Amino acid sequence: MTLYTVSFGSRQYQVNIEGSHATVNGEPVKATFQTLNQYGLHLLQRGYQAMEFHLCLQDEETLQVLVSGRRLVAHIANPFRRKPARCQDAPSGTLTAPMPGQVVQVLVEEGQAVKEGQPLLVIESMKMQMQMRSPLTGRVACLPVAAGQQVDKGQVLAQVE
Amino acid sequence: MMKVLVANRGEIAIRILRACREMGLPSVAVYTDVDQLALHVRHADEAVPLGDRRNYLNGQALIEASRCTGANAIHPGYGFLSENADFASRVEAAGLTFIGPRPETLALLGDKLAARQAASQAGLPVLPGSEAPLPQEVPLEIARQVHYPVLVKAVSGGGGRGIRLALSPKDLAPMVSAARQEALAAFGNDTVYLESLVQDARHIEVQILGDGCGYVLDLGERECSIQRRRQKLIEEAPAPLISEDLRRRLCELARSLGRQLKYRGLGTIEFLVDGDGQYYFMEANPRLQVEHPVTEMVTGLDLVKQQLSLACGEPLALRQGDVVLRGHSIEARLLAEDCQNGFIPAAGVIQYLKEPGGPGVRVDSALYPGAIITSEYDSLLAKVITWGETRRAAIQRLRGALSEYQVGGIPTDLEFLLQIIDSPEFISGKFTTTYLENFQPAEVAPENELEREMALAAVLYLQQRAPSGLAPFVNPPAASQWMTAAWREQMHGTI
Repeated sequence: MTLYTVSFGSRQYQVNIEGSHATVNGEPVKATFQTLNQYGLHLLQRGYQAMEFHLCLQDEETLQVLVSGRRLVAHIANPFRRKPARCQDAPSGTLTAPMPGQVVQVLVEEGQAVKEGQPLLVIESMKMQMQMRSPLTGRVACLPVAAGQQVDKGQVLAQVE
Repeated sequence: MMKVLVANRGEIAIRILRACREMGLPSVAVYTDVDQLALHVRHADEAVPLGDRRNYLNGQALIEASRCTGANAIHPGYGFLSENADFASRVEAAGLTFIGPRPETLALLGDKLAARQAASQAGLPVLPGSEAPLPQEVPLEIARQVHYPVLVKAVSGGGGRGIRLALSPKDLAPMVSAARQEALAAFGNDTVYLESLVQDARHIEVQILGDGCGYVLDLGERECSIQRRRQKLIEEAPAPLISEDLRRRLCELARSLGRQLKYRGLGTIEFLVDGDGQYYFMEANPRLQVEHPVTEMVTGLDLVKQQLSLACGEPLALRQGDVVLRGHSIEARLLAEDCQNGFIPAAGVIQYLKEPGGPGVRVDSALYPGAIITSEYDSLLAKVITWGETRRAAIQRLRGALSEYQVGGIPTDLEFLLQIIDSPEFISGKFTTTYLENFQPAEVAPENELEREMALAAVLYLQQRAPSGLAPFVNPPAASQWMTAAWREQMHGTI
């Protein structure tokens, strides 16, 4: 028996697969799936209803599902999997880039005292400028980027202690 | 024969290149190094690399690209250098045709203060505001005298950038400096002025077309009040809920400004219309607009072909009496933005794509499966435009088309667009430019049965993709066989 937890946002589904028998939240699923092509396109059949859906892997535990005009993001957790150290547990004083772009302005210096909400730097993406504000009141411990630098989504911009 | 270099990218470059092909005009595309695989490159007869990602703004490189391909005309599209008077002059000085208004018209309309004066002279009502640019240090008496809320606007602004709203005197200085900074980055000019804010107003604009010798006609109006951060999101023609009298007056005023400027080519005169039916000139956009297709759908005209034939030196054959509006058209902009996550611009690769079709549905798109979406340029991916005999029919078609649209690999605003067009305010036509600021989308009811099914499909899919899909799952080796069996069972089983 293998139990998976699949979540769409805050809604969780327990998928239990035992041999060739599968249940979701304890109940069997009365639908069949068919693979339409090698690029992730599938067909769901439920009674006389047929519905196309597309599955695409985003990372090792995230799948994007396109179905019925909606885009769902499925997070899949397996209880047997060792939990790797994730940066989700990173200290909350870390400011990361919410989108890829360019640092246009750095407003503070390393070592400077800052207040929560104070703008630390400005990044620009798709011609849109966004002020990146300090997540907490403290001191800028680390400022690894400079004006003009390209940054990737998730890259650390500043560390406030 | 005119050979056209299209100095742009994305859906609008494709739109213009299609018109060239239809008219039998040879065409040249340009691309920067991040756009080597972009779709517009393949819609032209020839394509010239520009190198650096910023070079859609490099006038010299564009003129050079025209020279080495023998192109004798440049179409700037919208954005980038389309409203740059200096670029237009240099194009003409190089002996090439600039497909757009004369450089002096661009210079005049590009200076929002000068444009206000010109509009006022042509009899258009303008908003109360400062008649001169603000000095570097905002004097206290100005900050005290102004009526709040007030808009701080860059004289060379456009596309909603370089505009800030000051709610009180203490807001003014920081907002002025924010507007200056954004304007300097976007337009290379940090001059700003003040203009009264009209609350609860609608954005209505009139499309004009001039022959450059004083004959100007209007192609009706467009309603563009559905905006987010001053960026239009949904546009339509004609404007709902305005009287025939108001429509005629706005069109006549737009033509009057066009005549005064001896306007050449396509242009848009933007108005704000408040709740009492008072209207004010806002600005003029001397170029092809993103939302031009809705005008094409209701007039049956091809605006880009009009531009191209004027540039070829042909006289403007169209007369005002030939312009007959029929039905209703709505455009929705497909953006690479994560609407569930603060509307952050998204980048990535298009993994899956299915675009809508059918009667009355037009898709102007730069997408293809495998297309790389970068964060270098603006987030517009495609436009869905529908036509119907009535507004209601056009909305129904748009709803169908947006539901059919499937874009995999990056988040888009598709669901947000559907939520807007399903809202009672949108359907009634009673909305203003601030509508989206307080917009609360109706809660999308989760489809539990479908989610249960997709949860199972997701697990089975991940298992089937062994070994890579299986790798993160520390399972007994036999598990993979179970999963494959389960998938097969699901695949071939009967209900």
